[in-house]
Amino acid sequence: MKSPIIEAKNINFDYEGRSILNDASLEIYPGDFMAIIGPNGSGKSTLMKICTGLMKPRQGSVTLFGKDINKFKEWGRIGYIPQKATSFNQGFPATVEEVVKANLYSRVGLMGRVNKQHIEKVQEVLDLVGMLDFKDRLIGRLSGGQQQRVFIAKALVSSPEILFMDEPTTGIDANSEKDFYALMDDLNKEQNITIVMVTHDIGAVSKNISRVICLSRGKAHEHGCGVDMAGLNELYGHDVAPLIHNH
Amino acid sequence: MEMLQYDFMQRAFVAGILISIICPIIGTFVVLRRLSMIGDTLSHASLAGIAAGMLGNFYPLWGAMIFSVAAAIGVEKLRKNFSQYAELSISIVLSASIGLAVLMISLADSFNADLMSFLFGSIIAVTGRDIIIMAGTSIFIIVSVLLLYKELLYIAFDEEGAALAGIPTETLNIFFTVLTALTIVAAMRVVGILMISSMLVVPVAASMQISKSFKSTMINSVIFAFLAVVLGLTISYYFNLAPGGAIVVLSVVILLLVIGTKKYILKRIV
Ligand SMILES: Nc1ncnc2c1ncn2[C@@H]1O[C@H](COP(=O)(O)OP(=O)(O)OP(=O)(O)O)[C@@H](O)[C@H]1O
Ligand SMILES: [Mg+2]
Repeated sequence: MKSPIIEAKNINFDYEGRSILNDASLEIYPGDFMAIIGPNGSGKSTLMKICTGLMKPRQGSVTLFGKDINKFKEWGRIGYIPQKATSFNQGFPATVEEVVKANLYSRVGLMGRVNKQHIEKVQEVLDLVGMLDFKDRLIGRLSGGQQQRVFIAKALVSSPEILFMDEPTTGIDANSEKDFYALMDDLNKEQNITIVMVTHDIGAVSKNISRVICLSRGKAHEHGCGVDMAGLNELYGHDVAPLIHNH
Repeated sequence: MEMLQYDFMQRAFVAGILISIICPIIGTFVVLRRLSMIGDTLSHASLAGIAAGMLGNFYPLWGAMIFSVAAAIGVEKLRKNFSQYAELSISIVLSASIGLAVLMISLADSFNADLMSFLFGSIIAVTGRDIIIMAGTSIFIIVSVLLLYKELLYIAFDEEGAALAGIPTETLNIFFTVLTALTIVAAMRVVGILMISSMLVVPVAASMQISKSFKSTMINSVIFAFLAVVLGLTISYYFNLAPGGAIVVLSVVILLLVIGTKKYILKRIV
């Protein structure tokens, strides 16, 4: 049996005394294509930020690649695209290439110089997401879907083994969404990148995803795929699932 | 070029050229992080330091350096208490600095020509010692920005992403604010405390109108600042004006010209 690459155990988290996560646990295995679902405000983004070290839990432990998160240093192995990644300052005068290059940090190190291989890596990931032709364009002058692709490239440039994405398909049209899931499939199957995404998009979930985690009342529950999913699907489609979920 | 026969003009030009490099490169990050007010805050802190120097009878630039660096650290420490309102911590330190400056000036009874030269900038007041300190400080600032260019760019664009990539953002934020404080101390002798903040912001604003990348934003802003400084110093020599005023007015004129030209060209194309 494979051991998990990311393990969050008995996580408790609260905002100003209001409990958000209550004894939530999550194990992510190499190769997983995981969806995290749950109603607005259930703590999906919070859980993701805790797994990536951006927030500290009040209680509980997080282990990344077998190391306690407080001792973990190899941040390049983890990619993260936050919710509303594309709501940055649209007037920021950086090109697509400059944005992607920024995330070479974990390869290059403090005060390190970017070399030819690094630049090739930048080209490679931009090509992978289909944005190479846009590399000299200002990031703020792209559409939301194109910016999304650039952010994926930015995350990929550090050669992560796992990619966390928080509602990556919000505001993307149906066609781009199809392309997006094709890209995710490619990353997962061909590049062997473990993928974890928060989504409300249950329809897409059932097609590509190997594991579904549902957050409710501060806990993380695993759903099987298949029969169980169909029921969940239907319920969620009616927008009532979050409330009457019978965990 | 007869003006360059004079030692004081040579010093003013050396100082001016350093200023036209350090102000825009620091200013680019300041503007993009939406911290434009920080220049005013740190320059008023250095005014308090200069008054302290006059009061305690020590070299005023040291006073300016100590006070503005202390204010810079104060801003960063306070920022944590108002995480969504960075500008609030800047305003608080600004108020404290102005109050302190006024107190020190009245205590030292030093509202004199010397102080005026710090407020408005001066060509003739730049001493050899000033130049050495300015040059040392400027080189430190330029080398720091070159070495930390990609880190500072990442933090300015996406602080959370930078932190996740492993960049020590807290330490670098403090370090950057200290660099800003040093920039102000290095530039204030020529440009003047009242106008230094504009030097951080206006050339960058002009550059952002036309630049097509982060790098070109920085390079173009240096070019604009250089033009404003060289022309401004020349004009203030011939017409006996305060150089800070001439330089800043010219920067604004350049900004307006850039905006005007851009509009004109857009109209012709569309
Ligand atoms: N900065 C904050 N201060 C106080 N409470 C917060 C803060 N951020 C989030 N919360 C609360 O924490 C809870 C969990 O937030 P979180 O963003 O993790 O939810 P989510 O599941 O990602 O929701 P969504 O589907 O809307 O993105 C919410 O109830 C929210 O009100
Ligand atoms: Mg969320």
